[in-house]
Amino acid sequence: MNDLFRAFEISASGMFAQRVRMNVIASNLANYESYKETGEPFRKLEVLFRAVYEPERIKKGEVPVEVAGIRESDEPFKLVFDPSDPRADAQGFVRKPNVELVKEMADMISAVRSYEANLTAFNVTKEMALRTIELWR
Amino acid sequence: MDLFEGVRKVEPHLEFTWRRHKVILSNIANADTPNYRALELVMKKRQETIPLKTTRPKHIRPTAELRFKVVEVRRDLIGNDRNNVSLEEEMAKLLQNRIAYEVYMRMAVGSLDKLNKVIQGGGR
Repeated sequence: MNDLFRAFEISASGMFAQRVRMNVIASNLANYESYKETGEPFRKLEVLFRAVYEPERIKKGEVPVEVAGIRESDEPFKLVFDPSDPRADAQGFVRKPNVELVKEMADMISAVRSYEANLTAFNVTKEMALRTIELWR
Repeated sequence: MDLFEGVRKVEPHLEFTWRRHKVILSNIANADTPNYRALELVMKKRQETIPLKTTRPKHIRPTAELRFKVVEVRRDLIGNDRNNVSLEEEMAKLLQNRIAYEVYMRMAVGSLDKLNKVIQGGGR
């Protein structure tokens, strides 16, 4: 029985990881034009996925995924020439957050697809489990 | 006579399919994990599971318990994150595996039904 629930857990870990990724993408999009309290532009957030290799479970082929961390990207900020902006420096350049809309949208589609794949796998596990229970009848 | 022979024959196949299902789940869950290598479950050859007779403690132990082996798939990298999971292939495997499970399950149900009929017939 434990075996059965661990199968659900694998798919659930995948769905959870993708949902965190969706949240991060949403944050990046929401903060497309934001600045921090320090006056520094918002830095794009990145999710780090990690496969959980446990020696006992790898033998059974069970490798769930986990979110190892969320870090700030150190990509360079966008520079826009706009001397009228109050945030402009001496040369008239304004630093903008390093979020790229197109990349975020593409990432979002990828996250949704992966989530759906995990959901489908979850449903297949459910059907197989129900089929097993039918042996009782 | 072994009454449960039919079920016993199907049982290792059911176990293999279930384990393979979990391997496929792992691959799908890790489809976006950098450095992850796709896994696959293979049945060991018969020779590898032959029980060996041991007379000394240093002899090779028989490994009859696990008849399945988890291996890494060797394939060229698809993305630029050193992850070689092909989601489409995994979905195809998932479906194929699910049908295989259904087939083995029906075989098990069939042989159990037969047994049931025998039992009920004897009671009349």
